[in-house]
Amino acid sequence: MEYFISLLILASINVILATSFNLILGYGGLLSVAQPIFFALGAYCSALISIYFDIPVILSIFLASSVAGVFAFGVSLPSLRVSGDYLVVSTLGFQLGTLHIINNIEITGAAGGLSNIPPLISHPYRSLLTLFIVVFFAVLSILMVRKIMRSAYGRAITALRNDEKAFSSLGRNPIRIKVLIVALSAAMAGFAGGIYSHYYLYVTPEQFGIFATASLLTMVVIGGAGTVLGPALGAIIITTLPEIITFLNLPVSIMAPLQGVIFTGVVIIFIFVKPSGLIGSKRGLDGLEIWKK
Amino acid sequence: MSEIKNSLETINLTKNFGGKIVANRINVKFKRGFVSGLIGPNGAGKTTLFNLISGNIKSDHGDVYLEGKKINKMPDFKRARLGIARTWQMNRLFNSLNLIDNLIISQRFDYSDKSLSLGLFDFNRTKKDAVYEDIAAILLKRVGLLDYRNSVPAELSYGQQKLVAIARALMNDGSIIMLDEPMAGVEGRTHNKIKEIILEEKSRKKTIIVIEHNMHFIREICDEGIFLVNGQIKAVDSVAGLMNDIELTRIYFGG
Repeated sequence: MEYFISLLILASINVILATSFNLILGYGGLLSVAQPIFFALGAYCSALISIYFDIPVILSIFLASSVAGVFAFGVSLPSLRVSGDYLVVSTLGFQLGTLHIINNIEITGAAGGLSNIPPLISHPYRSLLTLFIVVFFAVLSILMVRKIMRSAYGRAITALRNDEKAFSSLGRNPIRIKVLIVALSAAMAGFAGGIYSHYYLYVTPEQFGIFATASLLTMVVIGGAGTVLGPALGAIIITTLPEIITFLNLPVSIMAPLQGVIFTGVVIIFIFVKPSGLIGSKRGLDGLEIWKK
Repeated sequence: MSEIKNSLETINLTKNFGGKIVANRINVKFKRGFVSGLIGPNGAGKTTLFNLISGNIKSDHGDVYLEGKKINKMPDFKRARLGIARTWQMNRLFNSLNLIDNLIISQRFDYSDKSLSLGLFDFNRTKKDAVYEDIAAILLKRVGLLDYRNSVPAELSYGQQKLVAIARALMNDGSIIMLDEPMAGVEGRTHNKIKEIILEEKSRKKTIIVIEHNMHFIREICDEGIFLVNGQIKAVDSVAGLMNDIELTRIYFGG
């Protein structure tokens, strides 16, 4: 039961992450691969704040979330002047560089990871209570993205994704919108990171590498980039699928490759059969613009 | 005195693309209530001049003045907010938005320009949109596409998309309207509609600049012709005058 709840918590954290990533990837059309870094920032900052300062854990999570948001604001100002392939390269560089720093400084526990993180809740039913909290915030993040996309801002974000040149030539400032959605998305990811570190009580740098980007990308794409519920669905599937496979009781030598094959297979099938994802719009107006060209 | 009449002016506007001079010391004045036609062979720098004026590309030298105000340091979106609106050869419509939203987003000031809240606390979009929606609907009616107000651009024919692009530029309601090949690939009713709209805007004292290859259309509608070759202005004259010019006829019209 504990294991099952723990899995649901991870799935809900991934729902927040995928939903935040969808805001910039699916709606904003910005292929930034550095999203796990903001997750890492939230996880590490919140852990460190609560280790070194005597403040409530929930407050440190919110603080870490703002740190991630402000940090994203700072780094996105220069990097968002480029788009498309260049953005992938520059965000990849940012991700690898930041990971390298985390891997090599003392305070984050370097490659060995950071442990002894104070828990969010100390209670016999801490997992169950954490689950309630994280589900609440997962739903909140979905509602936030839905609200944004239904507002006049959402219309501007959509227009920006469709044609940035036309968008700016008609009087809208593209950098402003990009920076704002990247910052908000990073703050959401940072928040998820905070909850993660105060539940699992241990973080290592390798969790936030390029594989994390790949699985996040898979969640958004198979669920449906540019849809409100798609990435959440994708996150639940991608988090639980490997666990379901473990129930097949296969030997480890077969299990590990099998998981890889199934993941890759799922992605390839979706690219060919349903590039708009599980919840793709019928008119084919949403989803990854990059694949439509 | 002349500055009041000349709403848009460029002085020595120059642009180099890796050694190829696409705009070479361009001095040109555009007058209010005037339709100016940019003509010249392909690669003459007509669209480049549009891009330099609208701010899509930055000039190497020279200045652009809008009603006596120097605007060449401004990014494109700020120039648009001063009332410079344009269209493109490839319409560049927002494919995921319906026609009404395509127009509303193209107004000079949008709600999203001011708020920092990303619309999270925006609880009366319908009310805020209402007034712009009316303006957009009037424009769609003018171009004859009101019935398609909730359609997305892909559901329209090419000619209809051209009309939407023009309506989108009109949504700005600025003093300058730049149309890049509005007539390319359209005929019949759409052709007449576009002509009608240009003449209406002219009577409203707008400065209209048109890039066009259709000489018939140029002769019908333009008050002056500006002839460009290799990034340079070769001649500015009435269209009839240009067509009588023997050398130009040889370069451009052939024969």
